Amino acid sequence: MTNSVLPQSAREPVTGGTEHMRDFRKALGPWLKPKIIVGGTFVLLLCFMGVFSPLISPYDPNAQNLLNTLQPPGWWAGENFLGTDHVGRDILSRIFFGARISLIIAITVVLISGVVGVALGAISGYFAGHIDFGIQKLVEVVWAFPPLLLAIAIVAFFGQSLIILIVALVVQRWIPYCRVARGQALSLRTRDFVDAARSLGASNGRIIGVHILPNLLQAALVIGTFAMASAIISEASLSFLGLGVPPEIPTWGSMLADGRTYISTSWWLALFPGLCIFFTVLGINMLGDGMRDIFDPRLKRSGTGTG
Amino acid sequence: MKLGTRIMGAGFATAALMTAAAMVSPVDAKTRVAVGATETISSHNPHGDSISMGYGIWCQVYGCLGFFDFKTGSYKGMLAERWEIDKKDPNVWTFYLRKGLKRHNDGKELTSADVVHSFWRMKNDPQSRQTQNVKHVAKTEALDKYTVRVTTKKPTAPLLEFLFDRVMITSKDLYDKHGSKIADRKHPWGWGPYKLKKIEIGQRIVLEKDPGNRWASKSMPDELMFRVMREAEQRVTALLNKEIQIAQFIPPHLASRIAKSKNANLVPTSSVELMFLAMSPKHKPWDNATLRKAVCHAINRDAIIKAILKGQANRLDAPIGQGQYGYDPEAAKKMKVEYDVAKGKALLKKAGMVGLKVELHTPVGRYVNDKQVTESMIPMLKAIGLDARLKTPEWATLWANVQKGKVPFFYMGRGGVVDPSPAFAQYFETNGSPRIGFSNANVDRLLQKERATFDPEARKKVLNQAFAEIVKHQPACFMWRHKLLYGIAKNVSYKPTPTGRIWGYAISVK
Repeated sequence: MTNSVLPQSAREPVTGGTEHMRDFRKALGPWLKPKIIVGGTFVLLLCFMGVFSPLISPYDPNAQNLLNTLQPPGWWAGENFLGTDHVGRDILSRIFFGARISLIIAITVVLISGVVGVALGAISGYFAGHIDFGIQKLVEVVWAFPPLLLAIAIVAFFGQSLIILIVALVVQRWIPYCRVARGQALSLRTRDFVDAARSLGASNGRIIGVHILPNLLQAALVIGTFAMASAIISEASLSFLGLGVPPEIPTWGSMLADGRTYISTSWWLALFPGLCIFFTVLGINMLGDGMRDIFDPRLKRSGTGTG
Repeated sequence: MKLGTRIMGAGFATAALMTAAAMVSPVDAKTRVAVGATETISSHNPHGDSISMGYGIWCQVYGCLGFFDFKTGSYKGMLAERWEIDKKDPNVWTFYLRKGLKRHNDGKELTSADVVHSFWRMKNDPQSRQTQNVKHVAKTEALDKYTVRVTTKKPTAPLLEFLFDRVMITSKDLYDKHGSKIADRKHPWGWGPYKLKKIEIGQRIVLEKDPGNRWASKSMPDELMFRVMREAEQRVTALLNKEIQIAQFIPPHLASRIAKSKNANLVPTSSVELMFLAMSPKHKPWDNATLRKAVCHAINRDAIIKAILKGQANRLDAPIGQGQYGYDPEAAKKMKVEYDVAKGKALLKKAGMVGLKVELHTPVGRYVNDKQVTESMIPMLKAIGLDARLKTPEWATLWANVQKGKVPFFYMGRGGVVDPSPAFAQYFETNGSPRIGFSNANVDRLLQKERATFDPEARKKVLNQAFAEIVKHQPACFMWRHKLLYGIAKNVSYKPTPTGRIWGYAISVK
């Protein structure tokens, strides 16, 4: 075993508190890159808005006031910081609640598709043979559909609801996880530690769960961050087409869709949700890019990575 | 000659030719008017749609018996030169066709056989959406080459409203030779002033003037194109960029963009389209009249007209409004359903339906600010105790389901209501159409009676009795009639009609 694969702690013996601090700073170093800090800040902001939206929203996001429609942003001086929409709802409150929906959709879609994709990929790669063939055929069939069209078809057929929207987005999003996990599992199944476990009488389930899956998580984490951005964009696209969540649930995509009717006369209706989508997706992508730099072994070897 | 001189000479020659062409082309250029429309036909079959604009398009291609002329306030013959009712038997109508009308492309003359065939096709074509318009007709006969006798099942005073620009006269010989599909797609030849040049379903319909046609005047545009543009912003931008010359249904908040423009004018017209909230009694819980009444009391129509429609609508106190046949302001006052939240709450409580979950289906972009209007209704319905949700299905799906009677609660419009008889027979008479599925013996009796009453004053009275009976049961809450705004390019002269049909004969390019 070469020194480079040993954990940091194994290579440098601990001699006191200063060394601990040095190790901590060294370990933290790669995470302090600008793209991770900026991206992480946007993601944290999204999480904050999503989690605390009922507390920080000045108004009920669905409360209408027909006597106060299409009011421009009042900023600090006015009643409505970012103005009101065509039925007099407060745009800032809807943005906060929209963040909640984006967050719920992004996390749920990534978790479900990650679990399904990694599990199927691990099974496919570990068992190989007929099981691998069957799973990969399923992957090819599902992958053949254009993603947005498939989601539109599902929502159009089953109707609008948050659960159906999540299902529509998950249907294809597990595939990248599955493909990457399968490739890695194919390689891992012939490694010595897997043979050792097998010779000690470990069951297939235990080998997959204890020895294979932990080695697939880093790649899944990187795919997951990019998939979050893509799930948010897809939700916004479906909501923009009127096929997202039901109209009474505020989402950035539906706000953008409503705002387009007034884009030349009341710009604030479309601008603010549009900016939210832009910065959230930018932030998640920057964070994902930074995490890939840390975890991707190829980048580590070529020296472009930071790990 | 040197090469440089040759090149220069060729350049000058080309420039001279191009200049000459440019000078000549305005004289020879064809005039084209493009209309940005919100609705479209869904098939090549001229009997296959029941939409206001579609009737106008097909009537200009195939030809129809006649239409209502808003200038004179009376019916005007088109393919039919004149008509009469038998003095002894009010069931017998005779239509005299114009002689010498030549069909597009092959010049075949219109005969009564084509008219009889068209009535038969409207009744029997599986794709036909016109059965309700010919349901009062018992028999159609060709008396001679140019005379058609239509016999009704019962005396039907408003027969012309049912038939005139809704019965498209299609060719019997082409149908017999090719069948409906080929005849409609490959040989859409008729006797109207325009030939059908191209249809891209859901996108555009292009008509080309038939110069030799009787109704094709020189001032009419040579080409009339209907482009589907559901987004109001798209229509306005296209108009201001000169991509289209007529933009239908400009929402009030975009009116100022056109008013300020150098290229276009804003032209208002009052619509004869009734906007309503339909509650189909054949679906539970909408079979409960108390629930339906509660809903009608919940909607604050004045607030919606003021805030969402910016005053560009006239509230309907009765099922119809001023200017429509049979409107009686005194009777309307009695039929008015007041906005009254307390009453709505009490009625809902009486019906035992507090907290009931209901789904309001709305079109998006089909009518002026339709989604915004229905969004504003949701808190109003919640205020009386309903757990109301809005559904925004895609228009084609919603419309198909409404026509099949599958949607229990929806916001919709009924266009072309000049004489209300066909519209009310379609929506509120038993088996009129599946759209609402309302059935009431009294309403049926009154609607049948008004159709059988030929004296105008007596008929208006019966019509109002029918309206009162409908309002009593509230299968629909009558909302308003839009004041429609059209954007029209300054080089085009056109006065929009209240029916929403766009007639090439009324358009001229300056």
